[in-house]
Amino acid sequence: MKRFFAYISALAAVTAFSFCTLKASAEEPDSAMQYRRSSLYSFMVSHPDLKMDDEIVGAFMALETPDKYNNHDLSIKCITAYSKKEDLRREVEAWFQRNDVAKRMVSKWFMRNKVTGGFDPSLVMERGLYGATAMDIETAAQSRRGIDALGDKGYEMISNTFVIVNDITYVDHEKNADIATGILSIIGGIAAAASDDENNIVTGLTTLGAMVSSMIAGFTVRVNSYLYQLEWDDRTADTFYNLYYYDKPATDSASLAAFAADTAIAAKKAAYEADDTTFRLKYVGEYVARSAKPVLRGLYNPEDVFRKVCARAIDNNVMELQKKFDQFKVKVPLFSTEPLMARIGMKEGVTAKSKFEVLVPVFDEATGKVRYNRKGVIRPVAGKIWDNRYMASEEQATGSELTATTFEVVSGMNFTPGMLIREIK
Amino acid sequence: MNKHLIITAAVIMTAATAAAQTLIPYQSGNRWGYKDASGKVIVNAVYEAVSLPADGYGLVAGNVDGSLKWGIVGQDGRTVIEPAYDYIDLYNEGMVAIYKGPVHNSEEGLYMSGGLWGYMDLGKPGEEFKLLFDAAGPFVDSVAWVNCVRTASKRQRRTMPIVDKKGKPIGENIIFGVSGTFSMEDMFLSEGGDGPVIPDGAWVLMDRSGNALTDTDAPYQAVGEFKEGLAWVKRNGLYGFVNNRGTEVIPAVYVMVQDAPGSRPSSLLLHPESGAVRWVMNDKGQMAWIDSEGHVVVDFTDFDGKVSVFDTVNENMWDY
Repeated sequence: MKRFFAYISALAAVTAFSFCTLKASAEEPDSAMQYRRSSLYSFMVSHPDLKMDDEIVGAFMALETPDKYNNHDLSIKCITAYSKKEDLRREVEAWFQRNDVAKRMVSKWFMRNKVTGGFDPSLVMERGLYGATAMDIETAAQSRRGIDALGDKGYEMISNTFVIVNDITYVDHEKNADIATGILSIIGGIAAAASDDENNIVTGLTTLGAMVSSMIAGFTVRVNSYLYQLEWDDRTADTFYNLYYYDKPATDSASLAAFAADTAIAAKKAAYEADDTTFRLKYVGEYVARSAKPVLRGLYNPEDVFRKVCARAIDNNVMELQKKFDQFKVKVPLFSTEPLMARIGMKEGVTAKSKFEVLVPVFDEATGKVRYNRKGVIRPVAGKIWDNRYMASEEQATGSELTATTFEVVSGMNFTPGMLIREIK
Repeated sequence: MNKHLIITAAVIMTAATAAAQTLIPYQSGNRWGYKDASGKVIVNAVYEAVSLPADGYGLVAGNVDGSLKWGIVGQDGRTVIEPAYDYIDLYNEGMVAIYKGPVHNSEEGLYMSGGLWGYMDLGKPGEEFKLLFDAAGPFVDSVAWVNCVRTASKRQRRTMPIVDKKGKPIGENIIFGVSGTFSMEDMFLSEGGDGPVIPDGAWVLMDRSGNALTDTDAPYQAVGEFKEGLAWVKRNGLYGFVNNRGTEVIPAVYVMVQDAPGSRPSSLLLHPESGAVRWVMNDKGQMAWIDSEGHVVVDFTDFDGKVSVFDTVNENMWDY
């Protein structure tokens, strides 16, 4: 336990410490990109009674966590449900409860060992201390403020943990696909009629195209995304730290023997495993949309198409959920001020009409928590918006050749690299 | 009607949209060539068809004595391989597969069958591999699968349809390179809408020098593409996995394995920290998860890979 609190103390202090040194720590853009991201468990509901279900599941399972979030996936990524289910949300929430999903997400934060039940704060440290050096941590651990300000950064990061449940259904365009096939057959017919040579290498090309097209040209999905947030308030955190937390044992035999003989630890382990009420997910909201028609340019096979359609549909829903719910909005650091640039783009819904506030995190010693003060407002420069949508570069989309979006100042001044930006309505 | 109508249609969209590519197909009259992004002609429009470029190379077709022959051009406009082959495909890691033999046409499309495949290193153009095969896969991580016995397999020409903004198909792109989603099944012709038909062969893993890395006395009847260093293999009707050094790290003793044809995607994502890399299924229909050394990480369980919304998931299926 001591070791844990030493870590958390260090964490909190370095939070404050790193705010003072943001400019320096932001010199490493990739490091800055990983700073203070929310964490996300992305999850899907599939419908085996519908067409293309395996293809959709295969595509979803191959997708990575959106890059503005820490990957907080658990091992189960997909559950099945009958497509006509009237109250899917209630069933999914019952599944969360029955399978202790919220508690498992806390266990992942603290890398709980399922055998010993011991916790390890290194993931909290890792996600919270980007940009901090070992000396920073050492200094923070020794500071009075670090000890006094227990847990802030850990608290904030853990409370910004989300589950997004994507209910994905195939939109059956059989009628449209038949039309498409018919068109190709006509083209093929013309080509075949134009040549008497049965071995003409050209005549066979469209027939294959027709078969592939009928399956993929009209491939669209409907995605209903439900957003949940891990409840991590003072009461929950206190319960966890005071009743359940203990460090995982060292691996030498003496430590393991002492650990095994410790009845207090055994009681904590049993209590944590039996607790099915403390840890919960709260429903935030939902968004439903149908994917756009696939752009096949630059794709190599149907699997590419399924992935692209699913990825873009999910990204779109994530973006819309960000717009609807402030707590889910991503905060991204500026990595350059001359010009103003940040690695956020069309995938996050950036348009020429978007506006972003520039934020400075302030450590409030009184509450031990972090708040964000607005330093100014910026907007994207038309024509310099990064197209970072899934497979945009393969599609040769305008803006996909960029690596970040360029902004201009609407109000405020003295922006520095590392300051965070967040979209405003 | 010009016989090249369809190939022409195939590249119209490409020409219009591939602005950032170094080789951009363009049409002049009925012939095709490549321009660069600035519109400068790189390869004169003298070809019957051209492919999408792959890593700076383009596949081109010329009419030689009344039939199409295929060659390769580089992004500097030079001819790397004269159009002399019946087909060329699977460009990856500087290697291409070259085909010599008949090209057939059927209801399902164009396919190659009855000929032989070899390889050519584009760093040494003109020097064909001495070994020839019934079928050949792409080089990935400097190794490739080759089938060493005659089969009736039908190797299709890999294409993707081009559709307009309304989804109306207007042609096809010819695919020359190998993407990260490449599947060995992509190479074979689909028949009757049931997916590709791939007859049993005798597949061996080979390095760039032509050395066999797997046992030639016990070849595989079917094989899959490499993903993260492992490829599924099938011998005597049972499946396992081989690494890219040719070692059968997960023995071919299972009735089904992850990614093999007919396998269904699992609901379970085993995280790298758990060590599991693939699932396998035994003859009782039970699944287990195996690490890259072949050790069982999650032992055989009745879990069938799908979790229902009504299920309480077995504790050993959870990583935390």
